[in-house]
Amino acid sequence: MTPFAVDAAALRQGPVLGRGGQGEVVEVLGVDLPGWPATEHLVAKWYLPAVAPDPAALTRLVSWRRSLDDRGRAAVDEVACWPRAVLLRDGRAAGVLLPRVPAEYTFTPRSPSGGRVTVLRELQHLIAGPALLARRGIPDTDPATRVRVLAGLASAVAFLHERDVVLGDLSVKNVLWSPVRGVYLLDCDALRLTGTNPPVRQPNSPGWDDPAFPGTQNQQSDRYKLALTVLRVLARDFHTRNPESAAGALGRELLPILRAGLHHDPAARPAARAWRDLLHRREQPTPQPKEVTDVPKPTVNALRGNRDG
Amino acid sequence: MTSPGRATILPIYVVCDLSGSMRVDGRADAVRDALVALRDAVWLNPVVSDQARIGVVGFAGTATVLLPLCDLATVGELPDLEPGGLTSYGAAFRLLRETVRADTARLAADGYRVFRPLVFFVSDGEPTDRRPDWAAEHARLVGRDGPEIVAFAVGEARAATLAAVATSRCFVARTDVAVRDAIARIGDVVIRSVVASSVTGGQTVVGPAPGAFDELDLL
Ligand SMILES: Nc1ncnc2c1ncn2[C@@H]1O[C@H](COP(=O)(O)OP(=O)(O)O)[C@@H](O)[C@H]1O
Repeated sequence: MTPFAVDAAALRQGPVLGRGGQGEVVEVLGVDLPGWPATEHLVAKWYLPAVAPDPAALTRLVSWRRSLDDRGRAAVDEVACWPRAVLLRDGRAAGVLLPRVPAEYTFTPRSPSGGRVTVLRELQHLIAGPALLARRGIPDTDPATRVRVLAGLASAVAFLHERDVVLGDLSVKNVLWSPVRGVYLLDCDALRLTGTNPPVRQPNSPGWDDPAFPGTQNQQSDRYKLALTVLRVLARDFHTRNPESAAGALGRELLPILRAGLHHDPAARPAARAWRDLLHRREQPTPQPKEVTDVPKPTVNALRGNRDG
Repeated sequence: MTSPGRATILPIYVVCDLSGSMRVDGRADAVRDALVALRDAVWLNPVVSDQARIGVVGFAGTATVLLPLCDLATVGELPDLEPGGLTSYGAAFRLLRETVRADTARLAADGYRVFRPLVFFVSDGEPTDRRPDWAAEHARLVGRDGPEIVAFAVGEARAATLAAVATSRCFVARTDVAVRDAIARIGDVVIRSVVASSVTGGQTVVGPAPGAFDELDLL
């Protein structure tokens, strides 16, 4: 049986892929353990010493996934970057082993300094309005794609909620999306199961906080943040909390559920399941050939947009 | 934009020592590289263009606004850095105060709400102006509605001096780390803080990865 914890010595590590607020993510070239499945592309996330993750909570997340049946596990792996094992350094829990983000959730623009970089396709790239995207040479999405991605998000949240997971933090950087595949949730090492604590302190994002639960996070605050995400993606506005601002995007039909979702009374908020069903009904069939999946090279002109636009 | 919730902008300033000592050992080049990387990061993160504006101030014997507060993603040419001269903290603090005040007023006039500005102050040497003089300018800068200052000491700058400059956090480069490498790490802190602040919609300062810096306790 695959162990719940893996020692750093058993990892063959490659280059650093990124640094975040909590630590450093390093490519894993191989895991030298007998019987470790070699098929999956993995990364190691090493926490900064100040983060001090709770090893029991990390182990709980790892074992939660393993307790699912094959279909359930495949369904989680399709939508979430779920920890595979706890990583030990000097006998202490110091990181987690995670799947590498699938290529469909990345793109490779040319940065202003000229290099090609692999970038995660984050929620921020879906919310950003046409002007912000055009300046960067990133193709815009159409409303149908945005609804499809939101339906995918609602369905991922519904699936996890039905299995006692609390997402806690939804942000413009930890939800990835693909025009051809769906959504992929990052930072799953920070979420928790109902009735237990998260492995690491969950960040508090003032721009996304739930007025009903300023200090805590639960499935009801997840519902609020899901509604806020739907609103901001449709309104293409990073700040708005006003349901009316999405009215132009999708007609007024969505206003009642948006209002309910953003209600200060948590009991009024529709479950993720309700969002899933509603958004799936509004989805149009995937327009096959026209879909833009690659990003054209930005020209230097793209950098010279109007100042302070 | 006719957004009903008014957008709130976080003004961020990088204030960098460009005295003569920055000419040696690739220090100024390291600053330049860090600015290039910062522009890349802003370019790759549209949320930063939406939430933050970034300006660059250089100082030596005098202080200059090298890059007026802007959306860095729209900047084609980054400023040239030409180190040389003394290290007048007083000049830096005075110009910064005037700049912050003017920028804040302009953003407000454009209909934005403005977060308390965030300053990353980097110095590689001790000030050459008299302490009472720069301390008076500093007091004026950080008074009511003043910016939050994160200070970094590299090279010959002393920890105690930068601790007096910082209002929130102060990091001191370890002596076994080359100054240009320490500057690169500071660039990393600025980038991650800029992105994190934009994502959370507040002011979030991320500390450097361990190894190159020690954080001073300001209390
Ligand atoms: N599973 C992954 N696969 C590939 N790259 C990743 C993965 N997780 C994170 N990264 C990279 O590492 C960076 C830091 O991620 P992370 O540690 O999750 O940030 P934070 O600590 O701020 O939550 C990301 O921006 C991304 O570039």
